[in-house]
Amino acid sequence: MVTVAVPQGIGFCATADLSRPGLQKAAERALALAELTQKLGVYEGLGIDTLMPAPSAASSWRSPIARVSHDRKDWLALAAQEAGQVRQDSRIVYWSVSLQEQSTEQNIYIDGRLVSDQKFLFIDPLTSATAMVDGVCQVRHLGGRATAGCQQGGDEQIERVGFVGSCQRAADEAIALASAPACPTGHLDIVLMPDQMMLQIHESIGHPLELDRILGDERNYAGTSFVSLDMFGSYRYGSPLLTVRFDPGQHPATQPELASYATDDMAHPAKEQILIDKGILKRPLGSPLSVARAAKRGFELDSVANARASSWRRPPMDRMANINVDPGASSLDEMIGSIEDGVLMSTNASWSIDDSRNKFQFGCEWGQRIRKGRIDGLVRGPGYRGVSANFWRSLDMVGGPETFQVLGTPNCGKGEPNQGVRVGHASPACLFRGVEVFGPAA
Amino acid sequence: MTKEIDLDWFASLVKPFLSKAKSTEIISLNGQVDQCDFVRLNSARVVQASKVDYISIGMGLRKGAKSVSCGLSVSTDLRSARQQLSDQLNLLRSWIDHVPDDPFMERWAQPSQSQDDSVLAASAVEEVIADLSDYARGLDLVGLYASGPLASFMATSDGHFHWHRRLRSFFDFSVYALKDKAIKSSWSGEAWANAEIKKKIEDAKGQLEILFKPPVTMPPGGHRALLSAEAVSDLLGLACWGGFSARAHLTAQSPLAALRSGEKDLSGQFTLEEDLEGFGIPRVQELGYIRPDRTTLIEKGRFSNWLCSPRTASEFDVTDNSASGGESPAALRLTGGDLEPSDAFDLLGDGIYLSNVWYLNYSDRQSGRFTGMTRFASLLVEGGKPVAPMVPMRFDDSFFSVFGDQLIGLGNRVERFDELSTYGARGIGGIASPFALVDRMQFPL
Repeated sequence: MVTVAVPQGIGFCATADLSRPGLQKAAERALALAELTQKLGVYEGLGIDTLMPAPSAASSWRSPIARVSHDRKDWLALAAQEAGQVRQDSRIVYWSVSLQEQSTEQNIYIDGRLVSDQKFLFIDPLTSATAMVDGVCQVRHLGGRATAGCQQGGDEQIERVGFVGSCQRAADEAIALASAPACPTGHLDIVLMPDQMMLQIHESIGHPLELDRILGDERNYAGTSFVSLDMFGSYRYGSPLLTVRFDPGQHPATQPELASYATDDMAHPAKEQILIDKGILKRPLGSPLSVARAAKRGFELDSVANARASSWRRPPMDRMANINVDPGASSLDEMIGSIEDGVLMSTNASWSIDDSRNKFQFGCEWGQRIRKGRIDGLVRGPGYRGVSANFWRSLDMVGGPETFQVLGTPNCGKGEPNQGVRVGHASPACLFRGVEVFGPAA
Repeated sequence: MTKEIDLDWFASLVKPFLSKAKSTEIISLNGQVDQCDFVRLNSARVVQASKVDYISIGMGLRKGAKSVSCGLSVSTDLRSARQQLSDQLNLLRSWIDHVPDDPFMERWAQPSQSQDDSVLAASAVEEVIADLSDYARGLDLVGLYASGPLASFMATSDGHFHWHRRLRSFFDFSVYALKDKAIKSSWSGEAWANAEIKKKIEDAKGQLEILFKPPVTMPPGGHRALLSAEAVSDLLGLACWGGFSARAHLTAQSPLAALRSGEKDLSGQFTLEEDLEGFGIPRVQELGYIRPDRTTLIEKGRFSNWLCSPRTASEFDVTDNSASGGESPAALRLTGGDLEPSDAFDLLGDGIYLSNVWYLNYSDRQSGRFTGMTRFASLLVEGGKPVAPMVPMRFDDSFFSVFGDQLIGLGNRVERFDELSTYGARGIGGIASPFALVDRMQFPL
């Protein structure tokens, strides 16, 4: 991607022709588009230093890798072995195993000077199984992207997600779910495990705090936000137990989270910052450029390094990176023990939220009934719905570090033209009171 | 100007490359060339303007009963692109002897050729955006302009060669009243059509007035509902997530399993077909099989055909119908009914008009149950008259209800909505549908 900034304008041209004439033509095209933006754009009064600031020093990032073998013949054997070990069972109608590797090298030059040099490695192991029991079908995923279990790193990710033996475990759990009663309907207490908290954080904290949404850029596609510019600094987003951080990878407890980096895709150096502090909204997910646009509307906000692009083919915009909830002090047993009537939910299966990121409805693969402070069997198809602005205020207990997991997904979609990026979310298990819970059709 | 990738360029890249196949090998290439100007607008002003030149290639290598593949994007510089293809072929050759035999390997179709490189000239983006700014003066318009040639191709070392390239342009936009209330519209076609687009913006402006009224909060529960043609098309798009895939049905993943089994049916007014011809989609799929112009999927409320690829046919021992590997309809057409569009609000009487729906997903896939939100200009209607915009509501219902026993009727005018997604390369195809009147639809929140 060649980016050209002029006073009050910025333009982009993506090319895979890296020859000198090819880059020259791309630069000329980007300049023409920058001039178009200068004439008819939203950046009135903003100079080149704001549109494309050049950091004073170069930054570097390497995904932490314990070991990696790029000879993938061993993967073929491993996948075949994993899939082949599933026991014959007429209730299992389908199962699958996959291993995926993606590596990315990124160099950002500004005015001919290398300002960011980053190398990322992503290994994504995944298994799934589908069971049919007495006409009831259930799917269980274990491992990577479908369970939000992605991190950066090498082949050690295969062991981390417990890949070996996971296909049989997915099959056993799918049978157990298909044999379980439907999740009950009613206003109940819920415990969300980290792999569902991940989706909850993503949809009802991450997206609403994206400053470009608040500025209206996404209104034709991904939507707006119930958060407005005047809320930062004072709005009670959640209960005092809720603290949320933008953590691009410096925190030892969350290494090697999926969207960690040294700089964002405009070479802004990244550092950890608090978004919500003890329930109070502090800052948006806004790049320096978006913050400058907000300032023109009279709102002085702090920025984060979140100008991110899905690939060399798309311009950067405000995105989540790693958005994490701080662990609390409650054990999982204490949370379950405090519930008279409720459901524990894990592994997202369905997600939908309104265009202001307020009214949501989420479903999970895995549910466990809680009665009188104890787990009381499985339930299938658990779902819950609520309103973001109220939901986080019903947060009543936050799990301790022993419940904390570092997770991530490669599938966050947004933008025109559309972009899908990786995001990380680390979270403990959390307890919410009095939530509208539902199950599948009987 | 960056280099334009045309048929001659493509042929000079792939033909010499494919000739490198050894006698025991078949090399295949398929993919897209997307050369597009994108301009994002907010408040009728430019937020981002970008040009993208993108050649995306899926390369396959077969040797006996073994098969490997990879994906890559190549340079628009011919020499570099040749080297990239050679490097990837060498990688595939280093792998292929190590993979096990593929027990379900599908056969290639008989070699065939087709080509269409009739590309109209694109308008200068600077002129288009200046015109749009002029038409949208004083409006809070948000949207995306996209224009440029888009090609799809497929070629193999045993003689397939297909290349289809057209100029494709669209302008997808919303004109906002207050907060989240807006009129959503779009135009798509080949050459930029100034007069049409100007009229669409004026039409949107003309519908804004009611959206300035205070929105009303509807009580949760069942409501009579009028779904615009676009809302219906979005629901049909959701049904494509496994609804018509033979593989999805054979692995118990289809939301329309009960329709196929005959356990449930839809309204007798509901007839749905894949319509490649109507949307100008190349019929050749990635193995060189020629898909039918039209395939009836649901006829008068009953399951008619699934889309079955040669791969699924081989794996599950069923008969294929030349579907592509994804087994998802590339273009759909829902047959119109007998309701006059001008009577739609009167027929609704008291209820909810869903101009647009948003963020659809299955809430219980096995039972065909879905959820989503109302959006943009969804309205409360009383006595056949639109009264006020609505606070967004969540619906949670099933295909078997909305398009089944609760479906009162379908409009007699079928509207076409082209695919406007731009993840990866720009999409092609679309969905054509009429509006739908539903007696009772469930809105839980």
